[in-house]
Amino acid sequence: MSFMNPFMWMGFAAVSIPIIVHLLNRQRFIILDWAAQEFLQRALRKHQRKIKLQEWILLLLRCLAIMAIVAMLLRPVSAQSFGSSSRFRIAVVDVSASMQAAQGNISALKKAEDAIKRLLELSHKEDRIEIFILHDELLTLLKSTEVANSQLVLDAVNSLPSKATSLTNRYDLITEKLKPHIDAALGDNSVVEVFVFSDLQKTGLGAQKMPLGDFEDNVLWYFHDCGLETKDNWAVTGLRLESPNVVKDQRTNVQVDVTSYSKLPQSVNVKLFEGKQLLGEQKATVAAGVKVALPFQVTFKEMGARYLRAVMECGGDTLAVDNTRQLGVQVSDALPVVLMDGDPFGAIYWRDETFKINMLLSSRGKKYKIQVYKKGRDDFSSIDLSDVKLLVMANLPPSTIAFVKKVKDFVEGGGALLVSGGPYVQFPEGKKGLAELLPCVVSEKIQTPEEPWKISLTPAQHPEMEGLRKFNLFEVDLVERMHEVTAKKNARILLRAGGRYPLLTVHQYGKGKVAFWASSLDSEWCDIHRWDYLSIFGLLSEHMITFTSAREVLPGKDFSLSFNTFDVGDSATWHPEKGIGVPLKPMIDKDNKNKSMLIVQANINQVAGLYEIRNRSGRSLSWVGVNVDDSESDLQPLSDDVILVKENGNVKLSHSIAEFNKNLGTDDLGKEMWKILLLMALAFLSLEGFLAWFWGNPK
Amino acid sequence: MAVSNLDPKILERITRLELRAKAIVEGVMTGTHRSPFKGSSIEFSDHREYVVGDDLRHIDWKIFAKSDNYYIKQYEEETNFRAQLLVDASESMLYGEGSENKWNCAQLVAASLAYLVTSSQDMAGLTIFDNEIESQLPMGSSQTHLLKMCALLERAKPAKGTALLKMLHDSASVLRRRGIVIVISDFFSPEEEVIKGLQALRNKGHEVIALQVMHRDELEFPFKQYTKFEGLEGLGNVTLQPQVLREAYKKEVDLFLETIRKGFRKCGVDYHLIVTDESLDVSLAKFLSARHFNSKMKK
Repeated sequence: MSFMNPFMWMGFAAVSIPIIVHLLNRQRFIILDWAAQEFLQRALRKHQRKIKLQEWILLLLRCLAIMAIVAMLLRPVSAQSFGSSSRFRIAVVDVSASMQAAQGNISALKKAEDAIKRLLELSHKEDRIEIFILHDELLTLLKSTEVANSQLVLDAVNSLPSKATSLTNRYDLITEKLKPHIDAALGDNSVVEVFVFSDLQKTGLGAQKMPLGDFEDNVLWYFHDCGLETKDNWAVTGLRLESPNVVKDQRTNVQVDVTSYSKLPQSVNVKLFEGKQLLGEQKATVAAGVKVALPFQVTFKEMGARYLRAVMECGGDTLAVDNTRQLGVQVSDALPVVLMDGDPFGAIYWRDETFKINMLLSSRGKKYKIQVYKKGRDDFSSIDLSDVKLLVMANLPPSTIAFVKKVKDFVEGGGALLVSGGPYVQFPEGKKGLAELLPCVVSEKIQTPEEPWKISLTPAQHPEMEGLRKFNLFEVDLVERMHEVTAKKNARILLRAGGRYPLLTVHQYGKGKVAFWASSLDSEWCDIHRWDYLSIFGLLSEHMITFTSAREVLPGKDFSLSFNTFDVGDSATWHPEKGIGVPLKPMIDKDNKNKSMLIVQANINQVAGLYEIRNRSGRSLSWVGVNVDDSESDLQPLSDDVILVKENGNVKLSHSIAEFNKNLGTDDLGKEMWKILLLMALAFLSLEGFLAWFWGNPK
Repeated sequence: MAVSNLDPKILERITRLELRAKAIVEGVMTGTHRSPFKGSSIEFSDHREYVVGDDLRHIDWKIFAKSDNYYIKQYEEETNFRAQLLVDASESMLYGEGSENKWNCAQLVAASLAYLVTSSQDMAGLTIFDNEIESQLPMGSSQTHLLKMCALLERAKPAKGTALLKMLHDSASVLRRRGIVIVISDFFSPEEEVIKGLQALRNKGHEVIALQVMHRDELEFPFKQYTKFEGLEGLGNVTLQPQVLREAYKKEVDLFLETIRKGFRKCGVDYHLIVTDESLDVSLAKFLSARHFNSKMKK
């Protein structure tokens, strides 16, 4: 005999209700002065024992009826034999961040814990159980143990980590990693059952598209949803740079995304920190179910690996762990830029376009490491573009197939290409390879207006144009000559000449960006008259470099992250990679005089995740979550359909403990006895009613 | 006590009692002019079986010679018969509300019978008792006497227990001249005492009429709520759910009534049960006409 609602045991206290009612009734009576007392006393003397007996019988029937009702609510099930096969039960507990969601004292993890204990109650002593925890890895918490060792099993359940060890969980590992365990158990002729206790939320980075893998047919799978009923959650779901090309002392746009997973609007307060230093703060109201982007502007004062931290403060949030998001940032002192001039005359003159660009950028501090290459003087093929962020081409140098491939690879890999369309732009046959990279189709037709055209900004907001609208430069007639071009699909036109002709166009090519000036920046030729004397072009050029030279941090490339805020001896443990409690070896920055920098090196694929920071004595100081690329929040529910993919019924899903009990009861524990108990309760009540009527109204 | 000395309110009540009694009696006696009571008289009326206490002078020896049984000759009483009303004013008579109160009913019955007797110039006396004689009025037949009887009934307040046997014995010894003794009571005393008491009156040669006054509740025990029954006349308390004991109670009451009825019949006591919720004139008329019919049949 087992019970599906064992917590209802206390309901047996309700048996006292009829007794209390009986006793209370004895205290509540009316008083009557009675003349024929003698007859009453005679009758009572003769029938006292009978009346007492009747009272006791009625009371007993009422108590029995209540006991039957309580027993029915306990939902006892008759245990049945399982033949010679013992059961091997595997419990997988999701310990990812979203399991920390809590309402009051009840968290999803606590619900999972309770469900496992319930499972133990419903297990036979000879059954075996193995417990795993799931996040980015599937790890053994308790090796195969007989349920009879209840203390051992309970200790394991009670040792479930109270804090999340990962933002993500990988359901696909369940089927993959459990296979050997399942095969071994099946080999022992055991009935194998796998129980997954999870909030059934896809989480964090790289949420699995097909998260569950293939279920073994000869195994019974039970998924139990431990999620909270109320999912009022607001999360910081994105922390990203507008351009990953971050230069020291240069303003950087940062965007923080706040997403509502609730049905309620909520006011949130978002703070952006670099380490412990507060960089900015914004308040916003997030409507139900929407994502809000909050812009911040940050200027990094130091180069090297930095980390940004966005922290959201929000009332009524059930899941706090996703209210913080970190971002590793590599701050450089300058951007490597290569200037190439295809002018066939070879020399660089002070009035040359290349010279002017070089001059403009150099005058804006040490943000650029500029290398200049000139046709006829330098060998283009010797240029090393591996660390270069931006390639500027003036007068389109002659292209060989190898050169075109080199530039193309550079842009596709994330490099930026800025091309100016000066007088030597030529497209000889067989050398059209670079034309493919450009955001527009360039014709050889030169437009020459009678009066110079004005330059105008297009109405759309482009980051490259930020801060330029305040200048009235664009009211001056400047453009005297330009190529006739047609913008390609998906290209953005930033500037027009004469109110209609695309002058500056950008587009994405591969991971990189390409910008094209349809005119020459050479003042000698006066295509854009006197541009080099106007500081706005310096700023525009700088913007173009900043926003087009955004070379992504590539997966697979080593990335180092420094934590300046921790003491020497602290360690950082990266759980997804190494497992719980196994620390990465931190590198102490020996060159740093105050020796307070802790550097964690990891592969960029692995940086995203949670770091547990411990001091030298091993005490946990805090958790730091780091992600480099954009990621979703933790509460993306898995639909039932995703779980119940099998039609043969060997996968069962429960959203409540009652359903869990039912799933177990119908399969394993024989028939429930609630119907019998209900009938018994009704029988007791009917008999009580009849006897009360019969004895009270005898004919 | 002279009627004129009475409080006007009491007087009003007495008058009302007298008037009510008059109304009842007029209803009862419509169409008959003969006294329903029988006693010693000149004109022979009927024979009846001898019972202990009968005057041997009235035995019809001729019938004894023929049948070997003792029969008493009865005569139509034409003038001055004597009726003694014994009214129980014990605490148990207090049960009931308003017009259904047993004591009110007993008062009215006594006044009605007094009126009936005095209106035919016969004599009526009144004794009100509980465990002793509370008040007494000698025989009289005047209108003033009737008013005095009514006043006495009005003043009486039931408060004590009953000693029915003693009272009936005392009355039997006090009433020297034979006549009709009408006992109005609920007879809530042990059956044997009730029967013995009335037997004692019969033994003195009185014709005895027992009028038992009971409330409907006492017959049917209709209560439903959990109740504490506090016994009048110091009979203790019983707290119970009435339904469970209803039938047993009714059996006890029926047994009691049956016992005293049989006992009365055996000793020649005329018995009639008056239930307080019944119309008193109808009840009395039923009783008197039954008496009249019986006397006719005996003739």
